Amino acid sequence: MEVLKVVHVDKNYRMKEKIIEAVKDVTMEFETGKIYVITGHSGSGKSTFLRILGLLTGSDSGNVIIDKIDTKNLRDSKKADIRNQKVGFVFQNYLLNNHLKAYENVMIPMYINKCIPANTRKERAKNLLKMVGLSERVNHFPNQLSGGEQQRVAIARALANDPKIILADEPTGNLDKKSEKKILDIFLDLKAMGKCIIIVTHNEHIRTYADQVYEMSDGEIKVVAHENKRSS
Amino acid sequence: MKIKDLVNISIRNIIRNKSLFIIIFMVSIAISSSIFGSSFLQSFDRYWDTKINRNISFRIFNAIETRDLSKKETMEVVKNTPHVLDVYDEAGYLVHMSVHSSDIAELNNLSFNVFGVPHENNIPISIGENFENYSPEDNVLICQTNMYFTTDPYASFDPKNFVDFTDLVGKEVELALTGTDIVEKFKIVGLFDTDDTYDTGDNCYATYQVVERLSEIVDSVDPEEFEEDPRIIHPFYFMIDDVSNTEEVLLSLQKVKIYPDVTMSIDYELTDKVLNTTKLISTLFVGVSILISIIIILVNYQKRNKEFMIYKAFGYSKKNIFMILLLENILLGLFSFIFSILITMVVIQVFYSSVLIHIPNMYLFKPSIGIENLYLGLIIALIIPLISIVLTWLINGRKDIYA
Repeated sequence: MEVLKVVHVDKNYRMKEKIIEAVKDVTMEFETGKIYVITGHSGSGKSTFLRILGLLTGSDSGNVIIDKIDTKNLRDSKKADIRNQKVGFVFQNYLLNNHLKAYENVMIPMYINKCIPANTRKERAKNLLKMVGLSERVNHFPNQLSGGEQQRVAIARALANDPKIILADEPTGNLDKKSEKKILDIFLDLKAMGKCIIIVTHNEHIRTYADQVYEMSDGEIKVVAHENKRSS
Repeated sequence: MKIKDLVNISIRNIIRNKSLFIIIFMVSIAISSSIFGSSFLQSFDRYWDTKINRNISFRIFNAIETRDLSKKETMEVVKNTPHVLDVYDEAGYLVHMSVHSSDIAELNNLSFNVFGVPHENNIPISIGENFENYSPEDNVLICQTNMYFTTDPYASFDPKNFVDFTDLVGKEVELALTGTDIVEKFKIVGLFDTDDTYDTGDNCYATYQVVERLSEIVDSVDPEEFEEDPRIIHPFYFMIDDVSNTEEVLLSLQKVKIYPDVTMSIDYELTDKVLNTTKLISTLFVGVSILISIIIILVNYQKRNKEFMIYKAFGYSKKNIFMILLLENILLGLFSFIFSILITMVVIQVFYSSVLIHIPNMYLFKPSIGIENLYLGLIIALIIPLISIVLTWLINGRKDIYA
C-alpha cells in the first residue's frame, strides 16, 4: 500500500554565486512493508532528499504526500504533527540525549502525541526497547551503551508513536559489522510489521536487505535493478 | 503539549544537565552582586547621610542662658526634642574663671568663660599672636579684645562690664575657678575681635593643655556641687536626623531658652561625588556579571543544538521547543535567585566582619537585604534567562536540522 509519494520535487541551494541542484525533479512512491535503499556518493543529495521526505526541509517545488495527505500548503505545526505520528527518524550519530536514560529517550516523541496516555508511556517505551533486544538496558544512559545499542535505542525511539514510515540516514555508518547486522535484522522485522523503511546510505552491503534500490547522483534518482535475497 | 509534561521535561533537564548547574551558579553570582551592590549602596547612603548629620552637630555650652535648668535637665530636654537622634557629652570643658590677680586691679575677681579648642585655632588675631607659635602643652590663652565680666553670673547684661584686655597681651595672669581658691597661671598671647566669635559666643580660648588642667580642677570639685553650678559648664553635643529639620529643632529649643550653635558644615559636593562613584561601580559590576551570564547561557545552548534537533525531528513544533526553553529558563532563574540570596548573606557577613568593622563608624551600617533588593534580584534573575532565550531563538530559530 502506498504510504509516501513525492511528485516532481525540486530543491536548490545557493552557495554564493552558484546554485546547487540538490534534488532534481524527483517523482517516487513508497509502499508499506518494504525496505528502500537510496545510495550515492557524498554530495549527491541523498540526505537532502531524506529530509524532504520527512518534512524537515521544504522543497522548492513539487508535492510530498504522506499517507494521502498533501503536505505542500500545510503550516509548520501541522507538518510537525505528521512528523510526530507518521514518521520515525534514525540518524547516523544516533542523536540520543545523553542526560536521559534509554527509556526516557524513547519517550521523547510520545510527549506530544495525544493518542498515547501519559500513564502508558513508560511501559510502552520499555516494550519497544525489549523489541530491539535491550530489555536489560532500559535504565542506562547513552554513554553506558555501545554504538550498536545506542542505535537500537534510536530505532526504538523512532517507533515510539508507531509510525508507518521509518527514515534512516546512514544508520550503520558508525557501527561494526556485528552491530550492523543486528540493526539491519531489526529493519527486516519492522518491514514484516508493515513499516515502510527508507534507508539512505553509501554502504553497498545494505543493498542486499532492500526491496528496491535507487541510486542518486547530482540530484537525480535512478532505479537500480535489484533482487531482494533476504527476508526477516 | 501538556503543562505537566513541560514542567517535567524542564526540571529533568536542569537536574540532569551538569552544565546548567554551572549556569545557575554564574547567574547566581550575577544576581547576588546586584543584591549586594544595591543593599550596600543603600546602607552606604544611610551611613553617609548620617555622617553628614554628624557633621551638623549642635553645641550647648552657655548654661547662663539656661539658668532654669541644670546640665542634666538640659540634656534631657534636648534628647526629647523631635528629630534629635543622639545627645552626648563634649570632651572639652567650659569653665567659668575669674582673674585672681593681675597688674590691672580692676580685673580682679572678674570672671569669664574659658573654652578649650584644638591647637590649630583659626580665629584671626587683632593683637598679639595665635596658638600656632605655641605647643599644645603651653598654658596660653587667646581672648576677646573686650571681655565681658560679671561677678554675678546671674546678673543681667550690663554694657559697663566690658573690659579692654589689650594691656594684658603677653602677660601672665592668674585665673581661679570662680568661687574657689584653685588658681592657675596662664599667659594671654593674643586677642581677637568680639565679632569673630559672634556665632559661638566664645570669649576665650585655651590650648588642650589648659583644658586638661581645667578638667582636673573641675574633677576635683564635688560633683554634687558642680552639677548645678553654672561656673562649670560641660558642653554637650547632639545630632539630628536630617539637615532639613535644623530650623525646626532650633526653634523648639529656643522656646525653652536653649540656644545651640551649629558648629560644622556639610560638603554636598563630596557627598554627591562619593555616591555617584559608588553607584557607577555597582552598576558596572552588575552589568558585567549579567553580560557574562548571558554569554555562558548562549554558549550552553549552542552545545545543546543536537538536543533541539531531536525535538524537531520527532515532531516538536517551534512553539513546543520554545515553551520547553522558556520554562527551563524561568526555573533556572528562580533556582539562581534562591542560591543568590544564600551567597549574598554569606558575602555580607564576611564583608562586614573583615572590612566594615575596621572602618570608624562604618560598622554601624551593616548592609542588609531588604525587600527592594530582593525585587531587583528577582527581576535580574528573570531578565538574564529571558534575554538569553530570545537571543538563542534569534540565532538558532531559522537554522535547518542537522547541518
